[in-house]
Amino acid sequence: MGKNLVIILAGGSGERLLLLSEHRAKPAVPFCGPYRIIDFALSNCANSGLHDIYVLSQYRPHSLARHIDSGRSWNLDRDEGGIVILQPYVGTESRWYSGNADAVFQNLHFIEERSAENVLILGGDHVYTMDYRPMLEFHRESKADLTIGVKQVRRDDLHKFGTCVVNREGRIESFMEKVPNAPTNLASMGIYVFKSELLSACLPADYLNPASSHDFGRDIIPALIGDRKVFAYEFEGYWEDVGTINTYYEVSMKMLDPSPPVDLDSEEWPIKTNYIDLPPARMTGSCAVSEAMVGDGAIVGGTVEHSHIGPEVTVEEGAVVRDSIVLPGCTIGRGAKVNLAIIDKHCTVGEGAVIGYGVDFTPNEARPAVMKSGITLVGRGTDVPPSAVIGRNCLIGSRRPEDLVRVPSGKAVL
Amino acid sequence: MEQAFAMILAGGRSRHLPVLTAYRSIAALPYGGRYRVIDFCLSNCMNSGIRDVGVLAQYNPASLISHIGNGAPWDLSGRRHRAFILQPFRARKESNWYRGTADALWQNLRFIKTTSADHVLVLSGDHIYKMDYGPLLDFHAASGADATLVAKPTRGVLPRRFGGLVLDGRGSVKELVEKPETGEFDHFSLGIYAFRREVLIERLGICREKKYDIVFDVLMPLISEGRVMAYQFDDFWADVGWLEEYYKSSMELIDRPGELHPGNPAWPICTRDPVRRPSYVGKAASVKSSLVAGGCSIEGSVRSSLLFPGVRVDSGATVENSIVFSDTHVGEGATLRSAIIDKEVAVGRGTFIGYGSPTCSNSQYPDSASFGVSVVGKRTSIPDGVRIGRNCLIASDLTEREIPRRDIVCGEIITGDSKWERILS
Repeated sequence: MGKNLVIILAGGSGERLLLLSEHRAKPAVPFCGPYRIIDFALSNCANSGLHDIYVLSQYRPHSLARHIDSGRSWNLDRDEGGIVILQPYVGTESRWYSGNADAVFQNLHFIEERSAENVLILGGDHVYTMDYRPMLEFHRESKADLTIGVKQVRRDDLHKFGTCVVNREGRIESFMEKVPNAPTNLASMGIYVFKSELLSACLPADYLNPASSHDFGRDIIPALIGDRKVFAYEFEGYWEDVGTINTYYEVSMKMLDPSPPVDLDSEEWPIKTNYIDLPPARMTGSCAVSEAMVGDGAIVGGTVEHSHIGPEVTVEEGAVVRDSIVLPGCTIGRGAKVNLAIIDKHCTVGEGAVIGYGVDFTPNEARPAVMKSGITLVGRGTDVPPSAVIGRNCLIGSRRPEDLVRVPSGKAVL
Repeated sequence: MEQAFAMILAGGRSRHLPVLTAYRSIAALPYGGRYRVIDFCLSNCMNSGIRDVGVLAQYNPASLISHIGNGAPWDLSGRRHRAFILQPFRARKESNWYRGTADALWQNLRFIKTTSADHVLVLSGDHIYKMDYGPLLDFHAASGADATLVAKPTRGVLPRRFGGLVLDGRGSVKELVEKPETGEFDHFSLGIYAFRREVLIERLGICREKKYDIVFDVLMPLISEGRVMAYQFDDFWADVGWLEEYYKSSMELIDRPGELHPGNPAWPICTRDPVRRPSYVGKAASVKSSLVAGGCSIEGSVRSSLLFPGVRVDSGATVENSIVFSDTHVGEGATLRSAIIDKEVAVGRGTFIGYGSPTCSNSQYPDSASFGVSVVGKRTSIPDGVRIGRNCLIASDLTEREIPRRDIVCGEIITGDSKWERILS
């Protein structure tokens, strides 16, 4: 294997994750207890023996930077290379990143400095375990200029992805970004292996093109098909985008299956994270827990069914949490009921409050297209007052408890 | 706060912790659902702002060394600070194992001399407590004493296993009686000492006279000279070098979290283990009154127990009043009652450990395994359907073949083919 450099695109605001990514970059959104979504990409890199990594960030990078820290948690702190976070900077031009290709272009100088043979470009927002080495090997053996990781997906989902048509040798004949009725079932995973020299050639050209939106899927890749050797590498394992509230919820719930799609503590392929030492979870004599993942430092005295209880969450006696995701540091007060909700970090749900009340599934007034399955989302650090009643499909982002006493289904209280 | 560095005595083994200390020192013994005993002392140092720590290790130190590493989990690592593990070494003229606690310090005199602090804390790595050493050091320095020891009220109980103390009205130590058989003592010594560095260096010279004990040969002469003060401490403190104390103090963590609560942000207890995934509790599982560390998978029933990281309890299995160390697997339908199961043990399907009631003490360790708890050593595989009674000791690394296929009755000891070494090493 020649020298490879990894670039993780972590700049996106993850707008479709709504409140979860309001105060943090999408890859820093907490997932499954102590983890953050980027842990999958970082652990995959570390487990694949790839230690030279640039993380390109732009939107609210603080959670991400604190999480990645020196990279120690993934053994990515190195004397040479290692992991480095690159934020937009003041230079001759001083521009924000205007697309994921522009983010890479603006850092081309740092990339070339590493004199890698190939550059592996990844998203930081997918849940999957993947050994990148066979893909790099395939890229080298097929003498490709660019290799794109692809996966077969259901026809209904194709429109969410870049899609490609591939010939018998695996060479890509056409590539379309997010189109209806694509004549294929191969979706791009947003994982690219570029020959460095190709990256150095095509990014400056794209920068000069006034018609370009500076996006790999929309602009860079379609322009390379035909002229350059662009191959598809098919990945067959589990891979899910968690870019919307619904997929975030569904993938989280799949982790509660008796055999979850990803074994986080796998000996061969561990998913690592950066989280402080916490004592073991405490289950009191009054608790009833089933089908749940319970994080370290949690204290459970109530009923928990089919839910995620994050680290340092307290579920007091008489509280009931069902079909919900409670992120780290929350307290669910005595007798409170939480049903089909995602509760971001450090929220307090007062005694006797109800979240996810009733059978009214009116879609959310602010985001009817994405908030209609019944999930109520409570933003970071919210104090839900005692005895409050909050319906379904609600978005709760208000810091003023008096706004939250009675919130009918479908309301956005921001 | 007065400047000080800490020397932690972590060389100890215990005859009273059969099986559990076969391969490790007491300091390296797992404790509290995810920690090791020495984490409490190291975390006390961290929380007290002590950044220079020497750990004196001798007995089977491998797990201790890898656990402590460079001391980073306790903020003991940096350009100028780190945790030093001080093991016996070869020298030009004379090379000795540590022949006693004072000798361990004396052999590392060069290390003690290289540090610049005025005071030396001599601590034991075998004790469970939370204590700010800052006020102790300030008290010690202000009193002008050569040494200060930490005293805890006996509340009328004869401190048989500890040092009984006689104090005068000013808090000066008049007398220290090690492991007293009779007498009345208001306080006992916790084995926590602050010394003036120069005095310690000078007094360790006693080792030249083949006197190697920090209490008998260094502290007692200072006491008789009236140079030792007592600093009072009356919070939770446990010496877990005894099986019963180890078990009971562990169980107290479940019921009375306030006493020690390792997660208290004001006084965190840190450890090295990597973060594991959240524990999974299955659909038919039941967990009550227990501490469950990360990475566990529970399909059965767990009551009043401590599960260390990565324990699997299969469906139909029951774990009661037990302590189960990391990555042990309790097979389908098995029962653990009042048992301590070391790491990476496989408990076969339908096996029952701790059946019946205790009728007699252990045949070889009557002082330790006498209160009804049975112990299984690290990496042992217990076949399906075996029944093991109370006060039994099952050695480490036994294969299924080495476990007799019959009822193992109360008080039995199973050592497999190689007899004693696997019990105590």
